[in-house]
Amino acid sequence: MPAGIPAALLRSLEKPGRYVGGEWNCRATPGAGKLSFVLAFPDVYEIGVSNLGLQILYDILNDRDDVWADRTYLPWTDAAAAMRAEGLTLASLERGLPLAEADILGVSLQHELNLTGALELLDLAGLPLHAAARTSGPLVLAGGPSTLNPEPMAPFFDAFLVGDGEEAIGELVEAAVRLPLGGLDRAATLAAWADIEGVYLPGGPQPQRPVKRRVVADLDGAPFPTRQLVPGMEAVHDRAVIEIMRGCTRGCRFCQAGYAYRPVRERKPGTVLSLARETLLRTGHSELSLSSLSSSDHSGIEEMLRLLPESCPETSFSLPSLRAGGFGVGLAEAVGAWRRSGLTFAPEAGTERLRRVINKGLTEVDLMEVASLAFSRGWRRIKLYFMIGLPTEREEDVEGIAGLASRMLATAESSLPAGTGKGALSLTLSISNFVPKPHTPFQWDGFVPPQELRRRFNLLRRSVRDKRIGLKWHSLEASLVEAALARGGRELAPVIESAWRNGAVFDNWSDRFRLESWRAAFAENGFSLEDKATATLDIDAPLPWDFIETGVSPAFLKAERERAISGECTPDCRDEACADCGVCSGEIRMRTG
Amino acid sequence: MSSELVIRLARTGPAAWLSHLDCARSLYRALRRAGLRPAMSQGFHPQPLVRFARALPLGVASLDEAVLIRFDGDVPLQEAARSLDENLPQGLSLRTAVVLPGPLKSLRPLRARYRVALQGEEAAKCCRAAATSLPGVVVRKRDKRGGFRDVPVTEHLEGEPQGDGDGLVFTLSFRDGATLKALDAAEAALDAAGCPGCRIESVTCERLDTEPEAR
Repeated sequence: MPAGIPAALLRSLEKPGRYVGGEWNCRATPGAGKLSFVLAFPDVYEIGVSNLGLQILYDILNDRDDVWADRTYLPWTDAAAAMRAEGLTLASLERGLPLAEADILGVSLQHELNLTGALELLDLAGLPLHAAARTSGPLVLAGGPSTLNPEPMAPFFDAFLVGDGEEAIGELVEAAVRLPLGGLDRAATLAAWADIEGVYLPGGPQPQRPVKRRVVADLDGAPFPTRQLVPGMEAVHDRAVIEIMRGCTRGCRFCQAGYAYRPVRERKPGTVLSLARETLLRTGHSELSLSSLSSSDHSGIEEMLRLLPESCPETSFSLPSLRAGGFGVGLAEAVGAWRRSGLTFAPEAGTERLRRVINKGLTEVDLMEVASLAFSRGWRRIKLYFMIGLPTEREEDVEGIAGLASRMLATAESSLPAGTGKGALSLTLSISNFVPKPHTPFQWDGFVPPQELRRRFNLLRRSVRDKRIGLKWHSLEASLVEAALARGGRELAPVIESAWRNGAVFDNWSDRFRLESWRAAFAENGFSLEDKATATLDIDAPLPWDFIETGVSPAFLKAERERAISGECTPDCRDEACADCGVCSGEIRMRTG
Repeated sequence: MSSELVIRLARTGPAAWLSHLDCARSLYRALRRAGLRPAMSQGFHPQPLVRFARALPLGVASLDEAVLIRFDGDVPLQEAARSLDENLPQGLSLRTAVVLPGPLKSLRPLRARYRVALQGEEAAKCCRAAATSLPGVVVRKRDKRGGFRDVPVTEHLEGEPQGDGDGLVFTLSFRDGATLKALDAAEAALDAAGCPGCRIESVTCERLDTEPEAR
C-alpha cells in the first residue's frame, strides 16, 4: 500500500504545509544499518511540532550513531479521509517511511482528550490497534504525561515509558534486539526492555510489578536541543523555548504535574543564557520562551531576566507561567520592558479558605499587590485562571471569584497613573472545571455532576456585574469525558476504542468534540459516562495506577488530602522544612540555586 | 544611506506548500540565522523591510521569485548571498543577488511564465488541447466584495501557449499588480478542451519579470 500524501492530493487539503516536512533543523541523518525510530504525535502538526518533549527525544536519537529518528503527526480529518479513500498509509515526514516499516514507533500521550488520536494514528499507519494482534511491524511504545495512568491504553501498546525520557530513550535503543535480515526480534526486545527502569510492559492481563518513574537527576547537565525545529507554517508556539526548570513543589493539590514531576530541578542561569544564545542563532527565532511549571519560582529568574536582553539582543522574551506570589517589582520591570500585551495569573479559587484547601498559598493581599503593581506599571489587561467544582467548594467560594475580580479592578483603578481612563482596564476570568487526576491528593474525589457545575457557573455569571470583567468557561462536556478517562483502569480500553469507532478524534478541538460518541461508547461497554466521572473512590481501595511509583508516597497523598479537608497548607519545601513527600532519594533530590 | 538588495529565489518542494506569509516568515528567519538584519519599518509594530514582488499562490512552485530587502547602510553582497543561501530552509534556494541603487519602493511584477504538468498517459494530448483552448476561456475570479467576476484569459495572456509532453506553458501579465491564477487558467483550459478529469501534477512559475519602482 503506498505511503504518504502525493502532491496532487495535497492541493485539495486544508493547510498542506502540515504534510511536507522540510523544516529548518529537521534531521534526515544517513539511515543504512541503523535502527529506525518514528516519533509520533497524535494531534495535528501545528500542535505537535511545538511539543518540546518530542524535540528533545528527536535530537537525542539523531545524535546517536545506532539509530535514526523521523517524525509524524496526526493528519487532520480532511487528509485522513483522503488517505483512506486513496488507500494510502501514514508515513514519516523526513524519509516518507511507512510507519508499519519502522522498528519502533513512539507515541506521545499528552492528555485524556488525545487518546483516540493514538488509535487513529495506528489505524492510518495500517497497524492493528491491539498489541496482541501485531506479530510483525514496529514495537509501539507510549510516552508522555498520560503514561502516569497507562491502564486505559494498555491493550494498544507494547510498552510504556513512564517519566523523563532523556536517559531512558537511549537505553531502549541499546536494548533492542535486531534480526539478521532486518527488523526487531520483538519478544527478545520486550524481554530486554522489561529490565529498564520506567518501562511498563502491559502484555499480561494485569500489572505485574511496580514501575518506577524515570527521573533525570541533573537537568542542568541533561541534553537540550538548540537545533529546534523551525516549521515553515505557523505553529501554536512559534518561538524558541528553553526549559529552565522541571518539577514544582508548591504542592497545589489538584495539580498532577506538581506531584508527578518532583523534585524541582533547575538549569543554572549561565546554562540557560548559553542555551538561549545558541538556540536563537540556530533557529533565527526572534522570540524566546522560558518554560517550566512555574517560571517565576526559579531561584535565578531575576538574574536571567536581567542578563538575557543583553545576551540575546533584538529578541522578545515570554514567561508562560507567572505566579502571583512571585511577581515582584524586579520581575514586573523585566517583563514590562519586553512587552505589555497582558499578564496571566492563576489564583484558582475565589476565597482564601478554598485556596488553603487546594494549597494554592496565595492571599488576598498577594493578589491585590499584583493588581496594583501590574496596572501602575502600564498593563491594562490581566487574565485570571480559576476552577469550579473543587473539593469542599461552597456557593460563597464561587461568588468569591466575582468578588475577588471586582476588588482587583478597584485596586487597579486606584493604582492607575493620573489621567488614565478607567475604561481601558479589563480582567478576563478563565473558568475551568476541576478534574480529579491520579497521583494527586484529590485523586479519590469525584468530578462534580455536570448539572451542578452548570448551576455554579450560572451563579458566578450572575455575580459578575462589571462589564470590564469577561468570563470564559471551558467545555463542560469535554471536562466530563476527561474526568471519566483520567481515573479509569483497563476496563476503559474498549470504551476508548468504541469512541474512536464512533468518530471521536481530535477531542480537544471544540469544533470536533462529539459528546454523543463518548456517551454511546460508555453505554456500549456497560458503563455510564457520568458515573465513571463522578465516582468518589474508596481511600483504602487499590487504584488502577497504584503500580506506577512517581516517588511521592501514597501515605503523603493521603495526609495531604486530610490537610486539605481541614484547610491546612503545606509549605513549599524550597522555603521551609522538607514535607517528607518521599521523592528525594540518592541522586534524586532538589537542585536549585 | 540604505542599500536595496534584490534576490531571486527558487521556491520548490515543501516551500511550495507554504502560504505567502509563512514563506515571508521563513525568509526573515533565514536572514536572522545568516546574521543579516534588514531595516525595519517605523510604527508600533516594526516589521523587516522585506518585500516579495508578488504573493505566489499556495501549491505553486517557482524557480524565479523576486524579493527586495532594504538594509541600513552597505551590504557586503557576496558574503550576504553566501550566508543567506546556507541558511535557507529546504525548498528555498538563492539564484541571484544584486544590489540596486535606491531608494526603491518595490519590485513591480510584469509577467510570469508557467509550466503546468499533468498526470497520466493522456497528459501530452491534453496539454496540446489545453494550449489551443486557453486563449478562448474565461476564468471566474472572486472579487474583493466576495462576489465573482468573469475574466477572459486574453486580458492577461501574453504570446502563444505551448503544449506537449512536458506540460502546458503560458505567460500571464500583471495589471495593477494583479493577474490570474495559473492553476485556475489551466483548469479552465482543460475543461474547455474536454479533459475535465485530467489531474494536475504541478504548477511551476519558470520566470518572473519585474521592474524596480522608485520610492
